[in-house]
Amino acid sequence: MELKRSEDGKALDVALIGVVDAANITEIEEAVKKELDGVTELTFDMKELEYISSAGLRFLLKMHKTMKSKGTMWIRNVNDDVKDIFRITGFLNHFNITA
Amino acid sequence: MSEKSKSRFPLRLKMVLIVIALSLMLCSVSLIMSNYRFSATNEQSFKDRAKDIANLVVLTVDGDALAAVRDKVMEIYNSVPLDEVVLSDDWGSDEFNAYLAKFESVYDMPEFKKVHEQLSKSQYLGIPTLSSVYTEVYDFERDVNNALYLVDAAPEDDACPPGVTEHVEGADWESVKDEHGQEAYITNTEMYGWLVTASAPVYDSNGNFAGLVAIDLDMNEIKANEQSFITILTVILVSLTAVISIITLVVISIMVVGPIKKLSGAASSYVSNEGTRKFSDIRINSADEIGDLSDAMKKMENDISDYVDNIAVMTAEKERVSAELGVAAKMQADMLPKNFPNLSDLKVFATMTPAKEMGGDFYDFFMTDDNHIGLVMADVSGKGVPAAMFMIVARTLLKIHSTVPGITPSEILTDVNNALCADNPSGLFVTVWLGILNLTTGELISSNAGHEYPAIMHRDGNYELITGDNMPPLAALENIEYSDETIALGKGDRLFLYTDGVPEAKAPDGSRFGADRMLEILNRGRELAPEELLGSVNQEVFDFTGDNDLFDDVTMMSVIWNGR
Repeated sequence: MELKRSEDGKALDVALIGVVDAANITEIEEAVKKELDGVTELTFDMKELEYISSAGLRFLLKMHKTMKSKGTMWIRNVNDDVKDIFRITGFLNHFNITA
Repeated sequence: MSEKSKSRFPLRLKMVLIVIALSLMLCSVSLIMSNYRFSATNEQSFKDRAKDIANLVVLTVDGDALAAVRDKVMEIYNSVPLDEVVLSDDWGSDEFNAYLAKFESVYDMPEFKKVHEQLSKSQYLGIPTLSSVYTEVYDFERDVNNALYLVDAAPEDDACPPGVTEHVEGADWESVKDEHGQEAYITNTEMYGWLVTASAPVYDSNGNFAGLVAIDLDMNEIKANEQSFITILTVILVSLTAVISIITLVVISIMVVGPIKKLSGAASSYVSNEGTRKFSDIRINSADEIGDLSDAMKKMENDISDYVDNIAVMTAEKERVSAELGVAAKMQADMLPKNFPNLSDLKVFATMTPAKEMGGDFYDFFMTDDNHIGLVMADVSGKGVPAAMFMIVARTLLKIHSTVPGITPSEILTDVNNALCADNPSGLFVTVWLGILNLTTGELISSNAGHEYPAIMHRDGNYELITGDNMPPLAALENIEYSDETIALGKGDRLFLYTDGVPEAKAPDGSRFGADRMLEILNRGRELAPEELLGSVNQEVFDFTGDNDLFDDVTMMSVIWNGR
């Protein structure tokens, strides 16, 4: 996982890499939460994400709800495998997924 | 073995040796110091005294008479060649007597008699240690370290005869060369024992050196006194040292060794006999390091005892909780319906294999009315007690809402979703596939809230997934409108429902079981009875995960429709 915050502090880019599951989700969640103050645009880059488990989806849902009141959460660069996961779990049409 | 054979060297023995060594050192130093000081003082006072007496005796001697005796003696002595001079070392030998005979004529000199008489008056001085008074002269002419006796104060038989020639050792010779007489000196010979000798010069009427008056003071008595003083001092010091050593040892024993032995004994029995209080019974009240050590050991014992008690309580508590969780997990599994429909038209079978930790998978089936059966396959996100409790709530809500007459699966999901969202602080959600099968027509209406695609097999076809855009899981997002899908089941059609524990089962190398492998197994077992089919999929999943404990519950349901 890589975190990148814009200069004005309003945009936070989180690149999820490899596998996101119960084994590493706590670490990711804490790292993101720490940087979340004042952020109005939270973007998850899934270019290098291979798999996301239900624990990871729970985290995304939590962030989605958190950002609803503060701004927007974007998901970008979703590959086909991850897109299938979103489709099955029904989040595909409810998260803001961009190219 | 080496540990055991290590020879013991107890603290007490070490203390004894150290005290004895120190005492001996102290004794020796004080003995040497006092002996040196005592004999030095004694000797100096004797030397001073001897010198005083010599100076006193000189006054009684007629210098001219002594000079005459000296001249006579030296004349005879000088007439003897050096190699014929017989020294006093040969006293009593014939050669010595012959040599002395050469000086016989000196006895007849009136000057000799005069000086003898004058010297003999020294007995009136009343000095008991004054052992001899005599006059002598040195052979300065030939410079061969020889001293010659002139007149002795003793009566003739005891006197040292004139002409006795004595060899003077090197260093002494250098000092006697001074005509004014040498410093008093002390000798210890076999013949006379301890003597202090002092001399003073005698001058004739012209002021020329005539010879030396020498006196000997007997120091044997004073040396004997010195010896007994040292002996007494030694005895006193040794006894005193012994007493001090014993006192020190007793004190150390009581104050240090005893308490330490108590502590070490307590430590040994504590180690071999744990659980009982060993240090707390020890009474050590000294306000020093040993007292501190004792207090620290008592505290440590108490702490350990408390700690052990705590561990016992915690272990018991943990076992209780673990047992209760086991019971809860079993209850959770037992709550799932086991009375599977095995009718001519409909066969249903389902299994739930829980993972190590309590999970949130569940299946369900129930009659919604006389003609419809509800089928549920669901998976709560997360694990443990929260997931299990959430599962019970979700399952109950689904069942209750399904009993509303004429309600469709999407309506049920919409209602249950809003009910769950209303009060869901844990952020858990549950994926649900809900289908209602019309037992008369075989029409299956279903709705999918984020759940794995079910697999369907139409008669003579293969199992395939019912894909499509799912709606989000229940409890994830509020006010979702779920949608229905209708499938008409024909005779012999089969339905396979499952949770992600099947396709996402993980092999030790990290690879996943996958939906394709699942479909392949299903197709291979397309003729199997529901129990056998689930058994075969379960076996394949176990074989795939190998030694890996199941990370997720594996839940499956097989439905066979044999109606119209």
